[in-house]
Amino acid sequence: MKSLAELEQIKLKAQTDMAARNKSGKRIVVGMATCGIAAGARPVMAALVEELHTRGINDVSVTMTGCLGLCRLEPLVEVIEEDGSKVTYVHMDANKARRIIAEHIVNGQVCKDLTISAEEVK
Amino acid sequence: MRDLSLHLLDILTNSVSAGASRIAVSIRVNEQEDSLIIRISDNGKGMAPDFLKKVTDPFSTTRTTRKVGMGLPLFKEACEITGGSMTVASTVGVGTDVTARFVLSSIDRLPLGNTGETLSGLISSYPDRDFVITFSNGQGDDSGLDTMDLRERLGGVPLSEPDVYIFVRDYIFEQQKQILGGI
Repeated sequence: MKSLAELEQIKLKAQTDMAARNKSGKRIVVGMATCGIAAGARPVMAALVEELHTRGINDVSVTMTGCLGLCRLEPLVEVIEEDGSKVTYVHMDANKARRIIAEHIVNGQVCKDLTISAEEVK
Repeated sequence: MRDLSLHLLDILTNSVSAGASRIAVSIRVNEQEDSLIIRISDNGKGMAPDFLKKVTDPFSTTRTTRKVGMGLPLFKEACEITGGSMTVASTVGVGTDVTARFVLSSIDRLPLGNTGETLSGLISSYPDRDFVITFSNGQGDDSGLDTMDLRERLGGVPLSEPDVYIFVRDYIFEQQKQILGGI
């Protein structure tokens, strides 16, 4: 069973980590309006956070946002670089989310086959 | 939507959009009354009486990206299909209260799902807001989580930390299962 006492360890670990952290400024946002939720966005967000956590990456934030206006392509994920440029991934699932962390976030290679532009030319 | 925790996530994002700083969720099961009651109360900007009247109409929405708003209509449907009912009360400048009463034993009632994953996503995305979730089973067992308590225990560590997300998700889901069982 989880106990609130575990928060003490999380606090100590985070306080130590945060001092040594370099901010990459990268952000990941997941569309979480009715359309996204119904299409499976919540487990996508969970997979993104879990994969970052497993790999010990703590300088990339994952947050939810509202409807991005492309309901038919949900679940949608955007990876936003520090300079504001972004890559939009469509029809996401948990496995594709883990691939994005490995290939895009860790290796710096955009998963071109999962992007909105790959989908639009189909 | 596959389960009620996904509907809950959708309704809670309305509270966030309404600028609420404190959002409370209560999930109560009463086996004698054969009911499951999910109540969401927020201190957001509230809705004017005219908008409130048509809030469960799928063609009402305040958003600008599209012209339909399906969150509350779908939640209402999920509720009424069991023989239950949903009410929405709101006051401009005070907040909104959504109460959905489900018939617990109805074959058409969706399972509750993982409310932990619903709350952890919201808490990490909106770490400056307060969320409270309470479970009760009508037998005196109550449990839940309040982010005010969480924040105090974490002493300045942001609620958006991945470690916190995972803890919150697993902790809330365990509380849910312990108090409400596998409903």
